[in-house]
Amino acid sequence: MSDGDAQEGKSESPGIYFFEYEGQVVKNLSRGMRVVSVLQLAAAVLLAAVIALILVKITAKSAIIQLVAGLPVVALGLYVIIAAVGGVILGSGSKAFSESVKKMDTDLLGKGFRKVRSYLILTGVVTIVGLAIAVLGFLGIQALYLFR
Amino acid sequence: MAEARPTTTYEALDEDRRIPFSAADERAITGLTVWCRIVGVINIIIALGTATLTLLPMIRAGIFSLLVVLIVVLRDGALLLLGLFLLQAAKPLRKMATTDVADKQYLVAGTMALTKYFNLTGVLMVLTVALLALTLFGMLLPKFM
Repeated sequence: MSDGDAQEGKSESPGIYFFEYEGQVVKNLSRGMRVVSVLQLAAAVLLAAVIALILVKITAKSAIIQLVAGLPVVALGLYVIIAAVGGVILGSGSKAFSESVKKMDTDLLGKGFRKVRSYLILTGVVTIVGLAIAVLGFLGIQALYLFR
Repeated sequence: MAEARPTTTYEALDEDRRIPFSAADERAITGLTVWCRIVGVINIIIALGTATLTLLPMIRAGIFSLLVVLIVVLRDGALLLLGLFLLQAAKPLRKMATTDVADKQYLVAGTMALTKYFNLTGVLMVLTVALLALTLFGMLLPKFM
């Protein structure tokens, strides 16, 4: 960037000093998020393929087997959707961060943080629901042992 | 030429104290720190809980399995670190959003902690994708034999 551009950017984007000297930190975050985003989307595709194979296998079986195997398949299906949504959110956040460094724009930096917040809300809600299911399942098994 | 270097200007010094985020962005960053804390604490609880539930029966029975200990250290250690990184990111980012003392310093500290979180998540995702690929391979292999 030329000196003239720097002066011009300064008037348009007040966060210029931060990006000039600490832009690499934001770039690293953007790179880390992009890697996770791509891997999460890859995991969603692979998991969808695994689900499809399980579905093919259980369709010819009895209704009880279909029910027993079907529930985890539904849970895995939900996980595929959540992983895909998480991957898309992270990809969008990563893009916002890298654009913020390129354009030296604090609004884009803020957008990146909003995307990280959305990802953490998704992760948090999924973890809380998963934890609740695990605790209820554990208590249920303990209750079965106590009252059998 | 020298005019273009902003390090010694008052604006540069001012910007160390305050990065001009919009009010909505500052609210969003405050919200982000709340979720950092929630997810961080849950991760730590899960890591300690699963480690205890895995190791306690082994200790009670007087059995020592290096493989189990290794799995616990890797699995729950990673989860514990993820939680700690999120808690580490929450504090400076909250200070950045709520004060105008040293925004640049806080933003760098928070961003670096978030980078560590995503890097470790990336490593765990590589393992997940590898396991899924192996599962898929194992399911497809009988069809071609």
